[in-house]
Amino acid sequence: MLNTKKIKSGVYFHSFVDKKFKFNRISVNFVVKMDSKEVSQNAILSFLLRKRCQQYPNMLDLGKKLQQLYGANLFSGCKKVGDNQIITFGISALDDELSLNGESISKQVAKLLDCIIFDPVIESGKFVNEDVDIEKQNLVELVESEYNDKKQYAMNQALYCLFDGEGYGCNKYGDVDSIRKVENSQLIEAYKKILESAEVHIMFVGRENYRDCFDVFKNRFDSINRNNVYISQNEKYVKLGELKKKVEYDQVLQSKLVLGFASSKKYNSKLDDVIMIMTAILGGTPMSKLFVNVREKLSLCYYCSARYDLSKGLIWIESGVENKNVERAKTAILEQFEEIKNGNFSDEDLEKVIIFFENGLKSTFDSPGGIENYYLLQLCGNNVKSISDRIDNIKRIKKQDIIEVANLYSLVMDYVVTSEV
Amino acid sequence: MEKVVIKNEKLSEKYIKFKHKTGLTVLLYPMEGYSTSTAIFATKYGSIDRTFKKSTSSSFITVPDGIAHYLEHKLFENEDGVDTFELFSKTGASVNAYTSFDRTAYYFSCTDNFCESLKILLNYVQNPYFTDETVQKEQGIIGQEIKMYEDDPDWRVFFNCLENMYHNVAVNVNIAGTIESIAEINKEVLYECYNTFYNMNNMVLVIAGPFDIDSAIDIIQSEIKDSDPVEIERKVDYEPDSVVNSIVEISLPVSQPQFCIGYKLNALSGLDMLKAEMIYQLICELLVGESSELYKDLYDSGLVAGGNMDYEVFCGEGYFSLIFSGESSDPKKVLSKLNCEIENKIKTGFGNSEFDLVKNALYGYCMNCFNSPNRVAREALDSFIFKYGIYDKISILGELNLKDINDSLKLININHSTLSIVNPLED
Repeated sequence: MLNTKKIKSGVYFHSFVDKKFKFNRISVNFVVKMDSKEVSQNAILSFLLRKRCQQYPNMLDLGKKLQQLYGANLFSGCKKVGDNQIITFGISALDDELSLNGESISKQVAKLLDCIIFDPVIESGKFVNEDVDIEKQNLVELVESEYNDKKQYAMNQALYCLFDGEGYGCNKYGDVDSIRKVENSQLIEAYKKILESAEVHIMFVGRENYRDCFDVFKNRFDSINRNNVYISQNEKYVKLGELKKKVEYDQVLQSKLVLGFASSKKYNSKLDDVIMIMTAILGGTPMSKLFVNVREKLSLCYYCSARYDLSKGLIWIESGVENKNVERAKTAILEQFEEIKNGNFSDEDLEKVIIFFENGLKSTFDSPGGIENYYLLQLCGNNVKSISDRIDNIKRIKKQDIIEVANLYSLVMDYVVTSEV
Repeated sequence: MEKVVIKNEKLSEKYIKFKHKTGLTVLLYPMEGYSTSTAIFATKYGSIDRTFKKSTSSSFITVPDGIAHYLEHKLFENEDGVDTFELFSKTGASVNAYTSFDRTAYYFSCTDNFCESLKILLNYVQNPYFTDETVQKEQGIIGQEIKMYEDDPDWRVFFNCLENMYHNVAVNVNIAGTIESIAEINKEVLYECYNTFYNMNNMVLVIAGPFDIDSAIDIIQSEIKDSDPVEIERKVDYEPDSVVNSIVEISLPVSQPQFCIGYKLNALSGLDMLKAEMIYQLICELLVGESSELYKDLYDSGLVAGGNMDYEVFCGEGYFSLIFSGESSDPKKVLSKLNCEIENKIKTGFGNSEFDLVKNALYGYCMNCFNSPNRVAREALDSFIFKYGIYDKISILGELNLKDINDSLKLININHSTLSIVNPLED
């Protein structure tokens, strides 16, 4: 069970302890508003800080320290969760009990992570210029490389197109132009801002001894003045205006189709699980309408699946389909959605999806990363539900509930990457 | 049926191994405290098994490329018309399968209804049902799968590397085959392959998690069918030390060049292969890991994005190579720097302090393999395919010394390497 302690204004320490784990995972997550003017600066910081720190000013020495800690995995990066950007720094490392010489790993790991985040190498009031230049270039290349994986690329483009001009429509790292324009001096200001005003979730998931970790970060935040503290928030998207359509031409053997659906009115977050189950009946399992009919019966595509974007309340359907069959696939997909709206599925279909999700939710507890992710996504927006409560709610869902939520939705985004002109 | 219990003191864990009377190898790994149990029913049959003969046959047969993978797709259909996914949907298990170079694995994970799911798994894999019509129908879906991979630059750069490293070992052929080769597949050849490789003597059942051991054994006893002892002889072609081509380049819609560099080494098997795999993991980490000089050079110069090159010790029956991959504006320069570093280290050797650090890191990596039922099940499957014990990695690591590393380093021949590049399309 998740245990939460407030350390300071907007700073929370969450621990989830389970003896079965052999590794401990610690992460410090800074949550800020997804803002196109600041998103690139924060993204650069997430990569810049992990390169060196005052205790290990040479990046090779930091690499050696991680090797000494039994190959501890230092990770950092950005996520976009609804209207929020999360900047994460973390380390996953072997538990003390499994060390070869009985040394304490956890305490060293917590101190190292603390040093990386809070004691960066700063010269004359700025980060090291060479580091900033390299990380800017790396980030530009990372953003440009999103083009390589056409499935993910198509999904991103559909989302950017639908939310054009809004925070949620930004790349989680920012766009290439804004990354290139970031100045070193802006980074220092951005760094101070996230320390002082971001909502902070420190997560410990592991075997047992979280006390050392708690003390390290409690002491650290005791010395930081916190003001104008951000409170994470999330506004579900409600259908506005007309259907957006976009076709992009490229040299692909297989077209990538992305269809986005949105609710026509606001709904209570209690309906999230109902919409998730409805989406699964439509295209979330190998027994779903899309898999059985569009992939198996019509042999139209290798993948055709639907997923619910919890943070924004959208349903996305993705499909890889032969270039000449795009329109056929689209028609078949929309027909299957209509089938759900018209109640053309059985109580048994619903029961199977419920059992499937019950299994999935319970298995969340088998991985430290899974536990961290489950809670972190819900903490952003202050909507934490325990897994057992969710399972109870899911079991109460009736066929009529599914039909009602399905009828809230209509097509808002139609995006295709194809070579067929 | 003699059960052997194999323990590891450091992990305070154990597993049970036995050979069922049908020849099936069973590995049961209890893991208390977890919610999920994972079961894998697998055959030592993958895309590299193109030419083979049974002990009862007089001559070798060669089958169309991609057939092991095709068979995997077809086993999900049953004679009564009920799809296997439909059967599993009643238990809530998450189910899937995959085919690689050397195996085909069918698996499920579940938190509840474990026994029902295990029965379904054992039954559908043991009961093939193919008709001309259903075999024909699958060509559309698999054709789309092949095209999807042809658009995937990561896949293409990797396969082009293998294709141009290996003359004869069938890792040089796409696992799913080609549109042309799968058109040759019919139900007769599918049954021939099934009856050869899905013999219990060539198969393993692995289970890891909080499942009930006695119930699992009861189900194995009741559901596994008798099978005649079939011995399979796989045709082994001579594979020269040299590579086919030292460089291969194609163009796809990508933002900047992607590369794969493969160094070809001599193939090994069993514990020798496992030991060599671990030695070369340490060597790769010493060469390009985050504490290496080359990493810093690539990072500072911006030649490889983030300085990070991924590496893999790619090995199995008949093949062993080191593969380095990444994105770079100038892959040829990366190859040149990597070759220089290898030659330099061959002359100087690695030192004790850096060796101790990477050995420490590899110990952590080995422990991570025991951190979830899924990981443990995968380790157990590897141990069957390559004929070693699940804990052998840990004991071998303890015995490795610096001499092993420096001696093995000298076996890397930079002239036996292939650079595969996927370039951006020209405007």
